[in-house]
Amino acid sequence: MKKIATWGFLMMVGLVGCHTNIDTDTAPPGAPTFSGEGYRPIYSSQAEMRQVSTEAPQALRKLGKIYVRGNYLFINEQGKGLHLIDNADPRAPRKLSFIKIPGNVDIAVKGNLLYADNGRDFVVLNIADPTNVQLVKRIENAFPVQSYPLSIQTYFECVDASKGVVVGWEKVKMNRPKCYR
Amino acid sequence: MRNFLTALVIATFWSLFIGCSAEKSADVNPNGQTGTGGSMARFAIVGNSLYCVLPDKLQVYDISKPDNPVAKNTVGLSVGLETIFPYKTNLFIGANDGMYIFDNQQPESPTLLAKYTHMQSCDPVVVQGNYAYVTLRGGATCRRFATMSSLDVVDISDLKNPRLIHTQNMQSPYGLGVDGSQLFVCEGNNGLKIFDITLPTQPKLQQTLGDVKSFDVIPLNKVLLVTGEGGFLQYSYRNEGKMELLSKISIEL
Repeated sequence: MKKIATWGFLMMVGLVGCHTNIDTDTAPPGAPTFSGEGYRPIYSSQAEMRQVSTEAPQALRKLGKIYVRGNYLFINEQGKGLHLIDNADPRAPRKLSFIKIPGNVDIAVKGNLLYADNGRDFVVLNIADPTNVQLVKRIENAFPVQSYPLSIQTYFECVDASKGVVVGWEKVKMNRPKCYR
Repeated sequence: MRNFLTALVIATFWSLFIGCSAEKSADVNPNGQTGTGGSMARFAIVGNSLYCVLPDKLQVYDISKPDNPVAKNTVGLSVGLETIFPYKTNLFIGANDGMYIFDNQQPESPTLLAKYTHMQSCDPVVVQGNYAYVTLRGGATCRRFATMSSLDVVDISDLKNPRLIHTQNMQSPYGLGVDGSQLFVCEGNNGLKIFDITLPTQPKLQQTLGDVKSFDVIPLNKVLLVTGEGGFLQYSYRNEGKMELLSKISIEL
């Protein structure tokens, strides 16, 4: 009986609109009413996603995490890549280049090698020449699908895999979307 | 007698010096081969192991051949893993529902020692000496059943039995950093807070930089690196209680 009740509850939640396949994230009772703003996936094609390249220094816009290695500083531009900065003099940091890594959030560096997430892929880059970074290795699909935004108690547009891979989420005005977590 | 006092003073200072340098050597060497991340990091390198914190597990990569990482162990944990902080021979993993402490003497196969559980929230962690500092961010986007945010101090002198020894309310905490007697906490749009932790059990708010919108910090060699909606800023914190702005790269929209 308990089992039936549980299934019934899950199905109801499904009908109400939780389409994420993470059933531990079912909407709790008393979820807030939709505010008019929700998260929309930012899609990219697989080919675009895998275009890692070194570009000229760029403006700082939506910053993420920081990483330091010796005099080098790496500042994540959310979902876009890394600002590579020469910080030998903290009074006068100098932008060296922008390493374009679509979908990037995290990195770690050892020696001249930089390890990064590139969407679902795990990539290793040689940064010996910061103005000409080289892709050394790509491990495909090392990370799980981003099927929902990181925030909880949020409404979001369900991911449609036919539109490409999700490289990030943006909060925008929308009609009440079907997904919630 | 005078000589004895002089000797005593010297001995005291020497032991303090030894004590401090021993504490420092535990930090990841910024000038070594491996870099340093902030408290929000999901990746970390210890020796020939690279750790990736995935939502529901810790993935270990062997990087003894640095250009060819090989996926090794995974340690399955509950969902909602967020951050990793290596300290001495341990790993501290911040999750939605608590903090996991791993023994990491064998970096290729970390073993779980303890889990410190708290209310559900977003919670990066940093460690210094016998204390872990954890921020818990409440509110609609993070903490499912609570709206309060806090800064917790957890006594980890017994790694298998972490104990909460202090908690105080915060506004909207994100990343944090610790160095010596100073603790830096990003409060998102509510600025950057600097605490005096001379007594680690009683962090005392020393200064609030209300206009510094902050998300992640790294304190390194007396320079505090800050990112956030306010751009990228660097402060000298050499003179305690007095933050000196060294440089700023502004956001351009």
